[in-house]
This record gives sequence, structure tokens and C-alpha cells, in this order.
Amino acid sequence: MNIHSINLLSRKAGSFCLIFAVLFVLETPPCHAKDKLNVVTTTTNLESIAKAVGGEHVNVSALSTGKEDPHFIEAKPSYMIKAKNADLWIRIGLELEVGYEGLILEGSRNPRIRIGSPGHLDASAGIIPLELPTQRIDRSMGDVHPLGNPHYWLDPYNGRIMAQTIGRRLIQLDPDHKEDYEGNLAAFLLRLDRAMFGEKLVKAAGGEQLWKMQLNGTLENFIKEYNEKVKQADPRPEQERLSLGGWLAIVKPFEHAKLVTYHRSWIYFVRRFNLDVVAELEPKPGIPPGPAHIRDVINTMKSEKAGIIVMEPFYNQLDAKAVAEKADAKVVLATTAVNGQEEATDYIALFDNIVSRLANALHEVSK
Amino acid sequence: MMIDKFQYSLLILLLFCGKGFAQSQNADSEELKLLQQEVSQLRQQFKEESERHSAEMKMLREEIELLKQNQQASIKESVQQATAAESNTPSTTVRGPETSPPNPIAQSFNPDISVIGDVLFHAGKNEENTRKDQFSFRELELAFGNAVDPYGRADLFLGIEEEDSEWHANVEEGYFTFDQLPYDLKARAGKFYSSFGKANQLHTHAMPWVDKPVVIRHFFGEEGMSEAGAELSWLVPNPWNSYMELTFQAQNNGNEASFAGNQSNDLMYVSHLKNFFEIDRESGFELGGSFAAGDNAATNGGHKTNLEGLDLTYKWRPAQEGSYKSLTWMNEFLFSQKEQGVEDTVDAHGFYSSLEYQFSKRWSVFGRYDYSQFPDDSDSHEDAYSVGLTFRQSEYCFWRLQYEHTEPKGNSTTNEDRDELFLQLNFGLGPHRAHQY
Repeated sequence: MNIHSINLLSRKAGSFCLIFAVLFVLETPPCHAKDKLNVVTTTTNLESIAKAVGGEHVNVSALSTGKEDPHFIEAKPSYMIKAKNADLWIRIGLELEVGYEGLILEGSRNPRIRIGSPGHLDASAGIIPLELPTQRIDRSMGDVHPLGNPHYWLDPYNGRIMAQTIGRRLIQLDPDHKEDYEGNLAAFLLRLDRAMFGEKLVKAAGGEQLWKMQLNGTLENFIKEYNEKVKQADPRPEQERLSLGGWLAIVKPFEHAKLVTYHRSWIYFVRRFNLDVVAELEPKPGIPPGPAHIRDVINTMKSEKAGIIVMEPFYNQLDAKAVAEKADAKVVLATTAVNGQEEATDYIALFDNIVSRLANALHEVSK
Repeated sequence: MMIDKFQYSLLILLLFCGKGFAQSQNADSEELKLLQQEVSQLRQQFKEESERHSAEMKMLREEIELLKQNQQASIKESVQQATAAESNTPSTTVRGPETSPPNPIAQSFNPDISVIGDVLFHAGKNEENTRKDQFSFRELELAFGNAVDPYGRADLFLGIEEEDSEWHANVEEGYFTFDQLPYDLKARAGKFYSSFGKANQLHTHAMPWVDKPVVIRHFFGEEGMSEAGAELSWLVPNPWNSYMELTFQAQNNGNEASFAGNQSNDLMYVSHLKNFFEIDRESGFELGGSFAAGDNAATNGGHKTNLEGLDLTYKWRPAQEGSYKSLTWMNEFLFSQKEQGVEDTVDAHGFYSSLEYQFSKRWSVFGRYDYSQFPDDSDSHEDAYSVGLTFRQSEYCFWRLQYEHTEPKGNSTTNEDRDELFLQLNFGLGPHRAHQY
């Protein structure tokens, strides 16, 4: 092919571009089914909660698949198209999405989901963030989040708040289906509370009360006193007595077990379930471990008798396995995102999965 | 309560039996009376008993209720305490469910400011002597950006560079973006890189190589093509619901290499169509077509340059191991028709193909092949082969080692092959915005 023909070809290519474009100007845009709200969430956890609360009145999709590190999602143009058609954008917030959200929102050119619009929802509204910096932070500390640790969805109590926040916003955007959203929300909260405390406790005291007692640390006392009262009032029926159920009951035998995690992503979870993190494999958030830090972690695990390393499957498992071998510990791979592992099919199954994997490992280690 | 009823009915049953018994005997009415008295006593007794019982239950219930209330109050208190302790804010600022988290960053209307430094060590033969075998502080980039008002944002990129032992500050880019336009439109005004292909628009710190590809250097100059102008872009609706962006730019024809340079007194027009297709959740490719046209000399109406470009980029990043593995294959073709005089047009072209593979959290290798003629000379060209290694110390700092072998060919060039080695250190301060995909 000589240069002249290449040139001719390229001229054609150039004009082809324009013709292509003009053709699409004439093309009518695809019409969207307007009877359902289009909800786009950054993570699969938000997707799961939004689906539960929105029910049949919403189409929900998440940018992530649940398998990736939620800190490092790329602003793919295809995400901008997803966002372009969204009526509601829900993010985790606390700067978890700082690396890509701005580019996607801007690229979507969708005025409905601009920050500050009713179509933009920060699900962290209403939760109490942990690890808010109390001193001046800089990058020598690694990837510290100035608004607090963003992994708050790993506390089922925060899951309740998130669901309520999402429910309120759906009602605001779609008041016609207020009753349905309220019903879905109540059903979701009931499911979550039952999974957390067990059906019997929820029936006896109600979810709200149980959470209040759980936050207050008086739940066990309540159960004890309740049982005593029942006993005094009527000595006969054993089945009237209350006992801890759900996730709390599964984790209870391992209270204050010592764990090592890869990233500081488990602090909300361990606080709720009374477990202790003694070290992280990352020397600083977002910084991969070096040999000196690995030695330190091994020593800490030995002296603290920590038998478990908990980590998300998307982190480097080789580091963890090396440490586990030397410290005679077990590595527990547990996803912190819905769809991150096969069993984690929704927000509640996510905790089922974490709790059962942890309890199994802790049980084995304690033998 | 169930039990009370049960006992009660048992008693009534007994009573009836007793009545029947009494009737059948019907002899001793005295005894019957006694029995009846006894029964009514029993009845009374039972009534009292059950009343006491239910009162006791009521008390119990009330007690539980009180307990709950106490707990509520103390929970409120403890939550407040927790908030105060955790957020270091006074407990009076406990947030309601719909308010945003307290922002510890003092609200100021300062723009986001980033500073990026680029240090280069160069070794090897370079015939133009533009790169000596020594260290250079290649570039200091200052980036400012933020929303200006509810209608748009501004971004400024100042490049401070050394030239002939003097330091100069250039406006690399500086523009206002109208990002709130209707109909999926967006507009920019100011000075910005032409949307011609991909590599031309990359800032130094965002490039996957130490230097720009040869074809970009030949046709747009060492700094790339960045001119003052205005831009309108549109997200094109399409039946596949895929990303398609059409951009039109009118910019000054001040580019030295392909347009009028110092003699610029007119405009050039750039159009670019960007398509992105997602193959699956882990991979996708971008296909772009570009076109630019303008005068290449001050003479009005004569001496035009037309540029056509085609870019194809394939990216792969696995979901689960995305922090540790990725692959980018980037290709660009450029064709130029530059009129030199009447009936004298130089048809020139060039391209590059670059492959980058990330094999661990911090390390990646890359290779690039360049072929490019010159906009004014299609009889000469350069072939260049580059390989390199990048170490990303953190998100904000990387090292890069690159070896480049260049072979100038053609009748007008008498230069020998060049072998160059670069060591680059690039570091950034501040929030600098996330990179485009």
C-alpha cells in the first residue's frame, strides 16, 4: 500500500467519524421505563440494601462486582453511562469513593445525581464514624481517611441506619409508593434483627429495644432478669425463657478472641461482636507489608496468642499465608462485600458468611 | 392466665357433678347447704387468688417496661458519650439521621492544590543535545482546581520548566468547564490539550512512559498540542447504550510542528469521537477517531494541514486481583497532509504501539514501538524501541527506568542510532485528581 492510498484511506476514516456522529444525532435516544426508579450504587452492599428496601419499584445496579478492592475502582466510561441513566446515586461516603466518584458523576452529565441534589445520597449520613482523626493527618500515615474509617457497613447496626436512610430518600423521590417502601424497610429490619439476635429475642422485646440494649451492653442482663422474672411468675414452662440467638450467639463463645486483619477494615465488625484486633498486616493503611513489619506481626501474634488472620480475598494472600505458617495461625478469607464470595448473596448472607467462617476457624484454633 | 381459666372450669365441672350428686341423694338438705357454702367459699377464694395473680403479672409487666425505658435513657446517654469521644465534638452536636458527617476539615473556598515534581536522570547519545548526561528537574507542575460557581469549575495546570538554564512558567492547561449544561453537553474555554488521540492529552505524571511517543513529538512537538480555544462535547445517545462522546474544538493554529507556529493568526478545528466498549466486567476497549484541520502558514486561505488519527486501547484488570495485576495495550495512528506550496503536499504518517503489564501491587513492565515520519518530510522516519520498568512506591510517587533505542532513517537524516537510558522520579503533593480511565 503506497502512502497516497493510506492518505486517501485516512481522509475517508476522518469523514466516516463525522457521518457516524451525525447518524446518531438523528437516532432517537432509547426511552427508559419511567415507572421504576433507576438506582446506581457504588458498592454491592448498598445495592443489596437498596434492592431490599426499594423492592419492585426500583432497578438497582452497582458499579463494583463485590470482588474488587472498593478503594480502587476505576472511572470507566461505561460507569458514566450507568450513572447517566440514574435517578438516585448512593455512595458509602467518608471518602471511600474519592478516587473515582467525581470523574464518574462529572462524566455522566446527569444533573439529577449531582452532589447536593436529592438524587445523590451519602449512605454514611446518620452513622457514627470511628477513627476520626484527632490530630493533623498527612500521607506519611498511609491512606488515612480524614472523615473517619469508611468500612462502617460491617456493623449490622449501621446496616439498619443505612436502610432507613435509603428508605427515606426513596420515599422522598417516589412518594406514591411510600407504603411499599415502609413495608419493605420494616421487613428488612426484621430479617436483620432476627439474624442478629435470633427470632425469640426479637419476638420478646422487639428489634429496636434489643439494639438499644446491645449498644448499651445490657442485653445479657436483660435476658437474665427476664428469665428470672418468668421463673418467679411461673416456674413451669422452660420454652418461655429467652436466650441469645443469631450471629451474636455464634460469636459469643469466642468473645475477645484476638485477631490479625490485613487492612483496618474490620474495626466496626470487631467492635460490634466483641473481638479484638491486635495487629494489621499492612504497616499503614494502603501500604503493603515489608519484611520487618511481617516479623513484628509474627511476634505480636505469638505473644498475644492470636490464632487468626482475617482478610478480604482481594488482598495478597501470600503474605498472610507466610505469616500464618510462622505464627501457627489460620487465614480466614472473608469478603466484606456482597457477591465477594459465593455465599455472600445479600447483606444478611454477608454476615452469615463472615460469622460462620470466623466461628469455624476460631473453633478449630481453640481446640 | 390460661391456667387460671383451666382451674376455674375444672371447678365448675366439679360443682355440676356435686349438684347432680346432691340431687340424686336429695335426702340430706343440710349437707347440701353446707356443700353449697363450701363451694361459694371456694369460689370466693379462687376469685381472690386469680385477682392477685393478674395484679402480680401487671406489676411484672410494668417493671419490664420501666427497665426498658431506663435502658433507652442510658443508651441515649452512652451513644452521646460515644459520639463525643469518637468525634471529639461536644455531645450537643449529636447528629440526626439525615445530616452529613461532621467535617473536620475547615471549610475554606481554597481550590484543591497539587504540586507534582518530575526528576530525570538521562544517559546516552542525543544528537540534538537537548538532553545532557546529567540530572534535570524536568518539570514542576502546579495544579489548581475547584468549582467556580454553580455553573462550572476551573482547572489550571502550570508547568515550570528549565530552558537554557532559565526557568519558565507555562500555562500547560487552564480552562473553565461548563459542566451543568443540558442535553448531555459540556463546554470548555481556555487553553487545553487538543482532543486528538490519547497520548497528546496526557500530563507527564499520567504517562505510562518517561517520554511522549515519537509520533506525538514529531507532529505536535515535545510539549504536545495545547492551544487557547473553546470546546463543545456531547454524550451521544446510541442504541447499545455504550459510551460515545463527540468533541469539537476550535483552537488557535499555533502549533509549531503541524500548524502555523509563530505566524498563527487563525484557528484550527479538532473533532474527536471516543467510544468505549465493555467486553466484560474486567476488560474493555476504547476506539477513537480524530480529525484536525487548519492553516499551517500566515498566508490566508492557502497551505492547509489535515490530520487524521485513530486510537485503540485495550485494558484488562481482574476484579479480585485488580490491585496486583493489569494490562494495557495502547495504539495510535496518525496521518498528516501538510501543504507546503501549490501542488506540494507532504503526506506523512506515524504510529506507536505500547504494552504495559502490571505484575504486582507496585511493579509493572512496559514496551513501546514507535514509527514516525516528519510532518515536513515523509522520506525520513524514525524507528524507536523502548522498554522499561515502573515501581509505584505509593499512589503518589513512582520511579521509572526506561531504555530507548532510536534509529533515524531516510535520505535527509545522517544521524546515527541513539541509545538512551532514563531514570525518572515523579512525586505529587496534595489531592491531585484521579486519572481518567
